[in-house]
Amino acid sequence: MPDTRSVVRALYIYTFATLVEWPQEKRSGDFVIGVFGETAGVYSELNKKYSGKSIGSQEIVIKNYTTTKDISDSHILYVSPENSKHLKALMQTTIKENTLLVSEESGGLTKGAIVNFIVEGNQQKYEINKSNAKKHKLVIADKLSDLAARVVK
Amino acid sequence: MKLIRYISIFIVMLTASYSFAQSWTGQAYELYKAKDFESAKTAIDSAINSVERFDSQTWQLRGIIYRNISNGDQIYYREIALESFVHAKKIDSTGLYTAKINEYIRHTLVRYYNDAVTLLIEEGEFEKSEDSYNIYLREYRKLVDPGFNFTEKNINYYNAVGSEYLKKVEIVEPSKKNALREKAIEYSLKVLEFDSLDFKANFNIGIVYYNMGVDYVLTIDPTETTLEQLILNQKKSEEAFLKALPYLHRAEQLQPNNKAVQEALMGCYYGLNNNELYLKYQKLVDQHNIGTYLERHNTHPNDIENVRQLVRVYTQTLIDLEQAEKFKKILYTLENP
Repeated sequence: MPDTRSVVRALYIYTFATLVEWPQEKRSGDFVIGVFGETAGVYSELNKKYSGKSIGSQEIVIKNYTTTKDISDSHILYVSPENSKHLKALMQTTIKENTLLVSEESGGLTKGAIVNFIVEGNQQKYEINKSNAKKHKLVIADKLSDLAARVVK
Repeated sequence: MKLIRYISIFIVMLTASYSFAQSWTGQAYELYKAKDFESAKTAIDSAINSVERFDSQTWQLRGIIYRNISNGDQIYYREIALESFVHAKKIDSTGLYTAKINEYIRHTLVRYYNDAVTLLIEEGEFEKSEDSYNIYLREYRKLVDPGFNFTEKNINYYNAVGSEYLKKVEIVEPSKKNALREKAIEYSLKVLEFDSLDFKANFNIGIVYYNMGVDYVLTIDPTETTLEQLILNQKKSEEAFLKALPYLHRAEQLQPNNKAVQEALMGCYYGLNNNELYLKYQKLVDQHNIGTYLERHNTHPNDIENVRQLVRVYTQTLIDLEQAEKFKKILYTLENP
């Protein structure tokens, strides 16, 4: 069975990369997308389709982390549902790295995520916490906010 | 779908009205037996321009000879064969040969059906196949039995057409897939007009919509797509999965333990982000597969994907914490050699 959910999430994560502005110091070198969770699913999909592609002049590198201490500097960090309990701690450690923290957890935005995947109706959607984005010095494009299921200012 | 092959044995009964061996009909019969069909055709055409044209047997033999040479480009000879049989019946004033002639007609008509099957399955000529099938229906009603019930034949034929379109979907480029899927649906719906509880038609329609739902997501160009397109394609995917459900559930009612149906329902609910129903069908599918996974693990212990499946099964559906831990450890070892 094709893993359609992971395909959609990976597509969303890629479009987030194109619709978020990182601080100047993060606009050179590799563009790192980290996945904190198992290697199947979202990581596999990102690695297969987006590794080596680019965001602007930055080459996309996909990294997989299985423990919190492995997590290093990432532009985007997707935290899988089974690792959501680490969200609050990750918010603290990723704030200074201007990481776009993406979760998939009910109440993810209140635990520090900037973008949280939700299911609405039968579709995969996302919600945004602009306040958390501001703390990470990230600028969210209007289009990303406009098409979100919910925006927390 | 089976080809129906009839082997007809023609026994010309000698009549006392003329010397058979010296007649055109007699010569034609000898040539026919010797498999010299072209010469037999010439002889039998001479027969119908002689006094022998008043003998039903002459026309019967003409039908048989023309039927034998009505292959390939000379399919119009089959029409001549049918006309000959019809004429043979017409001049059979006593009705002595009626039953036999009706058999000849039936055996000749079935060749249109056989052609329809061959054109469909071996040559992929969908339109020509349907033309041939329609001739078979029309002529059978006209020449054999106006009230014949073709329901079962129609179901078999239209299901076969639907299935062939589905096969073709697999080998064409992505942009052409949906047009073929629509055709598969069209023919499966024809079947459901005859029998709304036909398993194959319900299953095929469900599979078509399921595949469409999957493709709306899988075929998105990862780096060219916009957020709007992603949302739109998700919407289309959802619509397709929702369309699949009633057909798949009907198929499930008809064959409750059919793994392919359960897999398709599992895929639909997974795509629809309905975890409760996805897990229900995943569990049913896992019950079918668990033996295979375990056997695979015995013969191929380093198959990492198979071990992942075992971890998933024992943690999500056929929950067994002991087994789950065992395979998690094996997976860890395989992932970190």
